[in-house]
Amino acid sequence: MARVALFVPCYIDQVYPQVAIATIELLQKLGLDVVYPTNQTCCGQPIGNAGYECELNDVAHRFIDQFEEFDAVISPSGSCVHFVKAQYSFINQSDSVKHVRNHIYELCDYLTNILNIKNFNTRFPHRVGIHYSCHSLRGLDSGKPSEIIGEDYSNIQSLLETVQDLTLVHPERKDECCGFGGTFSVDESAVSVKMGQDRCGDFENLDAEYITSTDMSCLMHLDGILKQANSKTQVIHVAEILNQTVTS
Amino acid sequence: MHHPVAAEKFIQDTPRVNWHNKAVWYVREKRDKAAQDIPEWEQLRDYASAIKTDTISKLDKYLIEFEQRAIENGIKIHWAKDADTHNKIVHGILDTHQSRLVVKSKSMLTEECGLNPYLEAKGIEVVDTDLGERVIQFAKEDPSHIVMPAIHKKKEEIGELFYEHLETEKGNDDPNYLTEAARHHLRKKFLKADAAITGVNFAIAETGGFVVVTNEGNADMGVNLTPLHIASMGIEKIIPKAEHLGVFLRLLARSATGQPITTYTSHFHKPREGAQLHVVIVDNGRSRQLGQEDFRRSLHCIRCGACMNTCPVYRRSGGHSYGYSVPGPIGSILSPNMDPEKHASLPFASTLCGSCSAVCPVKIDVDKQLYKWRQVITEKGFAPNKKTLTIRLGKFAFSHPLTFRIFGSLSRKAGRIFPKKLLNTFFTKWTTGRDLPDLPKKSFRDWYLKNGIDSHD
Amino acid sequence: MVLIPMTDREQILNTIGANKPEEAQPFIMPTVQKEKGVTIEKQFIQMVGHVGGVCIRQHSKQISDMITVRYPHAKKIYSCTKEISSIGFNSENISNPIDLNGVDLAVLQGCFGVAENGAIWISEEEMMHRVLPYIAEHLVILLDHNSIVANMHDAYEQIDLTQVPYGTFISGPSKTADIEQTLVMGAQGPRSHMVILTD
Repeated sequence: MARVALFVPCYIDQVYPQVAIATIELLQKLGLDVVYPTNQTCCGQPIGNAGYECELNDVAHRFIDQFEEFDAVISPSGSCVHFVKAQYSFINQSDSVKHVRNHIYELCDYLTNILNIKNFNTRFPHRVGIHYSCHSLRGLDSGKPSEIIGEDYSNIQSLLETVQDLTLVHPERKDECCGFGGTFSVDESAVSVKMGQDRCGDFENLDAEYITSTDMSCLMHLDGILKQANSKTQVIHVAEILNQTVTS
Repeated sequence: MHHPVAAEKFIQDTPRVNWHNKAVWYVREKRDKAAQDIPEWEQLRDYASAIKTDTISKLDKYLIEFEQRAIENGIKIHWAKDADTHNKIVHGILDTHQSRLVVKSKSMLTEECGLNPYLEAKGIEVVDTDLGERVIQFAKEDPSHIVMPAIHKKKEEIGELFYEHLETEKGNDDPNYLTEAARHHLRKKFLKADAAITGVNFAIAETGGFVVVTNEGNADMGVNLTPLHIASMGIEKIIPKAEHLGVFLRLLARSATGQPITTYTSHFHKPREGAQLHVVIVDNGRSRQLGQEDFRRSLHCIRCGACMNTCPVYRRSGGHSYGYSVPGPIGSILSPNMDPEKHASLPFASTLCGSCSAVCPVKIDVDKQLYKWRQVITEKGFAPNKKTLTIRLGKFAFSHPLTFRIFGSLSRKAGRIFPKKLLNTFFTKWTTGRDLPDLPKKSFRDWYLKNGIDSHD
Repeated sequence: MVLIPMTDREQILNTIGANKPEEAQPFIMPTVQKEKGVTIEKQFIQMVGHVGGVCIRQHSKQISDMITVRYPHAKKIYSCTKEISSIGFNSENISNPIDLNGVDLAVLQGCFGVAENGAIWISEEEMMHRVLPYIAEHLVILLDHNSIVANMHDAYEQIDLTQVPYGTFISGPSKTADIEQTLVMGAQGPRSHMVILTD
C-alpha cells in the first residue's frame, strides 16, 4: 500500500487546524495510510515570493528530508504545492528532491487524478461558490483557466458536483485572483484589499453561503474581508465539505 | 515610483477604480470571445512562441538580413544603441528635411525614448495622431495603456480637454461628437505636416520591409501624405519570414482588442515615389536583456496589451501607477532591465496569479519572470520593503521546528489574549479592510499527536 | 594606438552575438488544410459586417447604378476600377496627395479577401495613390467573389511582398474606441466601408 504523507502548510497548522484535520480524516476514510511527519514547518514560499530565495536552502532541504521517504505527499494547499513543484529548482536536484517534486499533490488533484474518486457520499445543503486558487489553477493545471481556449475541466468542481444537495454558484469572472498573494497582501495592501472585496462581492451577489477553495490562504484573506464587513457569506476549505458525513 | 503608494492613491476613488476595472476587463472579455472563434488558438500561440524563440536566437543574423534587403528596397537604415542616440538620429533626419511639423502614430518605443519632449525642445511640433494619444498629449500625461492610451480618462474629462484645445461645445462629451472634432483637427495637421513618424509592429528579415497596424488609419494617412517617413523599431521586432505574419496577425488584434484584425495592416517595402523612408533600429537595453537567460523571453512581446487587460492589479491601480512607458505585467519585467533600482517595486506589484502568462499570445512566462526579478532585485539590495530581519527570523523558525512551534504557540496565545484593537494597531497593513483570523488554542500538530495517530492505528 | 570607436551598429550586433542563446530550430510553418467555396464566402460577408462594413453581391453591370443610388451626395468620386468612372475631377492631374483631400468616395479593386476577418488585400497598384483608401470619406471595394481565402496563412501564400512596394489589408471603416470604449466609425479615414462581391 502506498505510504502517503500529509503536508500541512505552516499557517494551516497554526491557524486552521480544522482544515488539516478534515484532510487527514477524509484520506483515512478513503483507506489511505496517511502519516503526518511531525517535524515539518513550511515550504518557504513566503520567503521566496518576497525575493529571498537565496535564504531558503536550509528550509527547502529540511522540507525534502521530511517527505522523501513517502510515495506521495498530499496537501490541502495548491499554492504551497506549486511552490515546491515550480520553484524548488534553486536547490541541487538530487533524486530525493526530484522524487518529492514529482510526487507532491494538491488534495483535489490527488483525489481526482490518482484516486479517481467519483463519489464521496457526502451532503452539504448549501449554496457554494468556488474560488479558484491561481496557483492550483494555472500552476498545477487543476482546471482550465479562462484564458486558455479548449475543453473545460475543473478538479474541484467535479468533486463538488458529487456532493448531495450542494448548489454551485458561478461568478461571472470565473477565476479572478482574490488578491492575497502572500507578502503582496501587506506590501500592496490597498490593491490586495480591493481585489478581495471585489472577489467577495462576486460571491455575495450570488447569495453564496460559502466560498470554497483548494487554498486556505486565499480563504484567509477573503474571510478577513467578509468578517470585517459582517457579511453573511463564509469561507470553507474544500476538504471540510468533502469530509462532511451524510446526516440524513 | 513606488507602485503601492501610487496604487493606493488611485484606489481612493472607489467609483473610478470600479469603472476602470470594468472598462479594462471588458476588453479581456472581447479577447476571450475572439480567441474562442479560433479552435487552433493554443496551437497558434505555440507557433508564435517558436518563431520568436528562433528569432532571438539568431537576432543578429536576421537584423543584418533585414538591413540588407531594406537597403535594396530603397529604405535608409539607422542604428541607435540607446534612447538618446535614437532621438538624435530622428532629429537629424528631420533637420535635414527642415521639417517643422511632424505627425506621429502610436509607437511605444518613441515613448520609451522620450522622443516627443526631445523634438519639442528643438522647436519641432509633434502631433500624436492616434485619438487616445492626442487626448493624453493635450492633458500632458503619459499613456496609461499601450493599446488604449487614454483608457483612464472619462469622456467628461476628454470633453473638457477638447473644449480647451479644440473649441468644442462646453459640456458636450458625446464620443461621436468628440471624435468628429478630433478628425477635423487632425486632418488639418495631416495636410500641413512635412514628416511622419511611426512605430513598427513587425519587420520581416527575408523581405526587408515592415508592417504597421492601426484602427484609425492615422499611420497611413500621415506617411502617405508627407515626403518623409521615419519608422522606429526595437531590435526584437524582427520576424524571419513573411509567412510568419499569418501567425502573428491572427493573434495580435484578437489578443489586444478582440477584433479579428485591425482595420489597417500596412506593409511598407519601398518608399513612395518622391518620398523618403527611414528605419531606425533601436537597442536601448534589449541586447542586454537577451543575455539574461531568465528574462530573454520578454523580447517575444508583440505589445498587444492583453496582460494589462487581464491583470487584476493593473485594472485596480491604473497604468500610471507603474511609472514606466509600458505598464502592467509586461512592463514590470521589462523595466527592471532598464533600471532595477528605480523600478524595484514593479515585480512585486503582482500576486503571481499567472493570468498574464496564460493570456499572452506569444507565451511569455511573465509570472515566472516576475518571481525571478524579485530575487535579482533583492540580491542587488533594492527590495522595496526591506524585510531582512523578518525573513531571517522566518528562515530560522522554518529551519528549526521547535522554535517554529514555540513561536506559533506564543503567537496564538497572544492573538487570543490581547484585545483586537491592540492587535489591529500592530498589523494595520493587514487589518485595514480585513479582520485577523480567530486563533485556535491548539495547532494541527497538537491535535495529531493526541488524536491523529490513535485514530490511524 | 588610435582606437576607432565602434559604430552603434557594430556595438548592437556584437552584444547580440555575445548574448544570444544557443540557436533554436527554425520554425517550419505547417501546411493548413484549405477551405474553399460557399462557407468561406458566407463567413467573409458576415465578418465584413462584424468589422463595421457592408458586403453585398452584385452583377458587374449594376454596380454603377447602385453607387449612384447609395452615394447620392458624392460629388467627387475617385475610382481605380473599370466598372466605375471618376467624377468631379480629373484624377490624372493629381500630383500632390494632399489634393485628394475632399474625395467623397474612393472605389478600389481588391486583390483578395480573407474570410476569418473580412480583410481585403490592396496593393499600391490598385490604389493609384497610397493615401487614397484613407483620405476618402467613404470607401467601396470591388472584389471577385472567387478570390476569398480562409485565413491569414492562406493570405500570405497569395502575396509576394518583394513585389509589393506598399500594400495593406483593410478590414472595415476607420474606427476608434479611444473615448470610453465607445466604438466610433470614421475616426480619421473612411466613415463607411462597402465591399461589393462581383461574379
